[in-house]
Amino acid sequence: MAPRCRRYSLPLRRSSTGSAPRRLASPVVDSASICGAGSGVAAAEGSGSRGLHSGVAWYAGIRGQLYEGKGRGKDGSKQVSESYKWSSGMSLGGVRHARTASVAAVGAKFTANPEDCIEVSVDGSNVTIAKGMTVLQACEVAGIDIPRFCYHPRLSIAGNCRMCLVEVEKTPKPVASCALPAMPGMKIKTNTPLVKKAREGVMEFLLINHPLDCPICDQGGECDLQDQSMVYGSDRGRFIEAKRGVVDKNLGPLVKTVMTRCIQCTRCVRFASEIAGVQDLGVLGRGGAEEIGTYVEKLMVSELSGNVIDVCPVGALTAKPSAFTARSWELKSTESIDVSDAVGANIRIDSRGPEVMRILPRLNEEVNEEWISDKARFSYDGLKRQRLNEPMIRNSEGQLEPVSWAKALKTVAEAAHKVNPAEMAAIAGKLSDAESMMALKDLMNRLGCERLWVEGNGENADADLRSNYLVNTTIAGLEYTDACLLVGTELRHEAPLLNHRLRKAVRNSRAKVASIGPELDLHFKCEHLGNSSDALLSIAQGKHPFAQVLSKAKFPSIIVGSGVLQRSDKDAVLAAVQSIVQQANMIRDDWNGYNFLLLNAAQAAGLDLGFVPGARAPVGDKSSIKFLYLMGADDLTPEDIPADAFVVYQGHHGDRSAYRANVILPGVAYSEKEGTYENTEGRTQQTSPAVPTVGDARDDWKIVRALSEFAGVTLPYDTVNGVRARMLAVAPNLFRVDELEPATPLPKESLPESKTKLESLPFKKVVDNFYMTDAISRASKTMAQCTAAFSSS
Amino acid sequence: MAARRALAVLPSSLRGLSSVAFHPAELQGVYNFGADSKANVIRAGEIGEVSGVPDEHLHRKVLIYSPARVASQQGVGKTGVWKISFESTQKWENPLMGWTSTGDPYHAVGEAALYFDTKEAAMEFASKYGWEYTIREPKQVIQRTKAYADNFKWRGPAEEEG
Amino acid sequence: MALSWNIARATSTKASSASMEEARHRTLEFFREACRALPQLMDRYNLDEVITQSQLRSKIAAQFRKHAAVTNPKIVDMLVFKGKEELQYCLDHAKQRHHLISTYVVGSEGQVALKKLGTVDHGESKFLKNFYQSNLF
Repeated sequence: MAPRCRRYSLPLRRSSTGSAPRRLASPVVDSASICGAGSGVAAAEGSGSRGLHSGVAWYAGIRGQLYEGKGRGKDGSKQVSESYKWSSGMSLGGVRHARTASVAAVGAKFTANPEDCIEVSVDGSNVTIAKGMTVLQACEVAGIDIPRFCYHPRLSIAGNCRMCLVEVEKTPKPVASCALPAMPGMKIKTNTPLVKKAREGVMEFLLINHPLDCPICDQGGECDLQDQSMVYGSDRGRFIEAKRGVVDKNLGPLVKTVMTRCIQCTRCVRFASEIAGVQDLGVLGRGGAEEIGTYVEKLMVSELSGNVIDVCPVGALTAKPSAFTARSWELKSTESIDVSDAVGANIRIDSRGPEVMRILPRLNEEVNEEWISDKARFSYDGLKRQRLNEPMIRNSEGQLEPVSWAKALKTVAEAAHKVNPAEMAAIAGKLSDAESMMALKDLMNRLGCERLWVEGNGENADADLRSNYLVNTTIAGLEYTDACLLVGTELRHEAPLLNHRLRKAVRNSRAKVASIGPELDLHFKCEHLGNSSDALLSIAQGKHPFAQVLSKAKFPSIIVGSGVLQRSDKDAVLAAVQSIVQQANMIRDDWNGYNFLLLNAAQAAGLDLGFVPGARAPVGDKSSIKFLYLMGADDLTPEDIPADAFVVYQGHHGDRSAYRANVILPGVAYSEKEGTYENTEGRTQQTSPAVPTVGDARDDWKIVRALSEFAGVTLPYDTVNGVRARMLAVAPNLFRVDELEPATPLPKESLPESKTKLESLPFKKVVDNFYMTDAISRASKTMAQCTAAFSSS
Repeated sequence: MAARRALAVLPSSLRGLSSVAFHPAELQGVYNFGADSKANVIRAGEIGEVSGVPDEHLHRKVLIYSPARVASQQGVGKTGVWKISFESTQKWENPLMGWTSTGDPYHAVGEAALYFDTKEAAMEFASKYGWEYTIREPKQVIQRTKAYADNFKWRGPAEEEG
Repeated sequence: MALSWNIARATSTKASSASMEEARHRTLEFFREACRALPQLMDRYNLDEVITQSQLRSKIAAQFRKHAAVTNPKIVDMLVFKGKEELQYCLDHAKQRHHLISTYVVGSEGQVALKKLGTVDHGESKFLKNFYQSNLF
């Protein structure tokens, strides 16, 4: 067995990998020419080994040719042999760390033309890297982990911590590898005594003012400084003066600061200005008086602010809600999907026993990179409050009283049979998974009811053409746009991660963005064209100056917010949008710039499954409803529900609608189930159960299945695989987890005929309060604190 | 390697046998899988069959995945292994002491023990026990070319920096 | 010493079965051996109070049938080996009365049945029965 590489142990690697030269066999077109300055050749790469986006022609055009990464094999030592065929993506999975085995999750890919590659030598073995990479990146390609504090792969290079010092032949001094571009033929040495001594020196300076807090520090156990000091730190200090103390800053209810621990890596400052787009954080003072702060006391107002906690390499910025609640090594991690918005960020749920202790982002270059929104990260405490834990029936006194499952289901079935199918309706809530929507649709259809819709889609959503309700540019693809029009959407509140992608386009390639809709600072330069459909109309007619911007752009795009669905003149708005799409030639073989942004996690899957009102269903007038089935749907106000209606509430939280319910059937939250969700770009993903269900709750599809038996219309599936088989028949893409199923671009002839006239109504806000949008975040104390702290902004 | 791992998890009743007064040769016939011929290939579910594991745990659903790097650290030392995880949520807080109790004998097994070097090894192991597995591929990092000089790059005509 | 000797005697094997035929033969032989031991077991553990000998025999037969689908002689050998070990433990009184009662008289299905005592079967489907029990199915 070859020696396993452990972090920072110096004589690291490569007993058997030898020094066979690594080279690129297959070329990849450099995309740098079309994406703007600074964005480099980065592009989203397929999850796993599948060649991705096979169906998205434009995407392939952008990326050049895509190859399948086959960088993993059984034996690390074989990886570098000549027979090993490099993939374009130059998946470095297998060689990055000389292990006996395939290195799965590590392994960075890069794309470059072979002629744009150079060869450098790292510790005696040659590696091929893309031109323009730094020495640190070259070492990473070679499989050597360079210690670092200030360098972060997703932020700009600061070069101020000096921890990444390496020796380069023919230079008099050690050099900071993160800031030095690699040159052809460079001979880099990472494990010489000089390097070790230099890093030890840096570490000693860093530790001078760092408190000995580790036992009470929340970062303890997963701290870069702690880990690296195990290798480079001395066992005694020579510093006998007093350590400095720094006053803690108030960054709001989410980020706890212990500024004495700060090592001035400035990652948080760069994160704030480059990613979050708030210019509040900065470095004050110099030398021993240097500190990070906001100068005047100011909260950091950003939907992505929680990410500074991850970015911080020490314990200076930690999570306030989970302060002192758990140590990292006692947590069980479950890789899952966030459902707080329609982006479907990849997350990791850390739990201890039956409790969710924290939520962290998980890498997915195509969806969330390595960021998540504050709502995704911190609303988990809502999972413990207001939970429904047993079936209940409202008795004759108007009180809800606990009953057995059999009695509750029997009551519902009897009530359903008492009413005419035309007077029934079912609404799926914003957090519903595809399995339960499938079961509910089957049940209601069997009962003769066709009036069903998903919250957010509303009753007049159009599920006919998939490309009409998806982000066709894809989330990662939005980075390449050079002109974008936002229609009726507050992107920053509706999908913070999508806002971040658009912000990247603005920063990197000076994309021009304009917005028609409610005015909101998106944290990047965005021209506000007013909040009425008049501006939309004048762009559609080509009169507005922004129409020229769009038609001159190489990769123009448009993002329509889902608030448009609630408008009475929805068809006219969409027709105007379509004509803008056509005039600017947004849908081509190599690019699809038409995007419809959904708001909730359940919407895309609901539309794919046809969870929309059937042709014969009555629309609009809710007063005729006599039997209303709410599956976690809380958006209806009590006034919307007729007083004589029989309301069934199936859900996990005693939220708004539970107060109106006649029967309550307790379901499970996303952290407790394996549910399929489709995000707004059409990517199917699955959650994993991390913690047990609460009380006597049951999986949502099981409740519906059980109810069907009482109602005498037993559904033909008993297992979750049975439900998925049914989904496969209805919407095959929901069966292919982790895959993006692109929509066929809209044929140009199929412009929707507008039956209505465009009215000059303002576009309404769809998100009143970013921090409280669903049952979970409404039950969360942290989100309530955020609302209070940030409501002025 | 994998076969040896499998034996290590055989029930204690079998493992303990060697401490009883046996001549090792006596055991060879039943004990030594994969030693002599191709007839010794272990097929799906067979280890589960002889393991004495209760029926309800013989056909468990498991997830084979490779844990992602924790977002709050940069080192990749802990990544790259494959894990088998039992979707084990049969846990509750003990009302007397507030400790966590579990009704799932596999609760801690996946967490603590089932690490593999390759996906294939994990799949082989799961199938020998007759577990129904799903595989989740890890996501790849993409290296971007970056330069310190980008900090001072001219990005077109002066505009308000976003 | 006596104990280990007994186990060694009971479980000592020749070379592993060369064919399924041979494995089957060994299984039947072991079943007969177990049946022959039944009167002793009934007597030693006072099982007459809870089960008849023929009932116990069919319980044991059920344990054999559970593995009817096995086609690999190695696996059959292994199962026979473990069965012999179990039998010897019973004969050596390495087990107590409740072990036998819970494993053979009541059995795992029986324990589930006990849990359900008092619930009335309304002819629901298997799904509904599981649904009432818990969310874990």
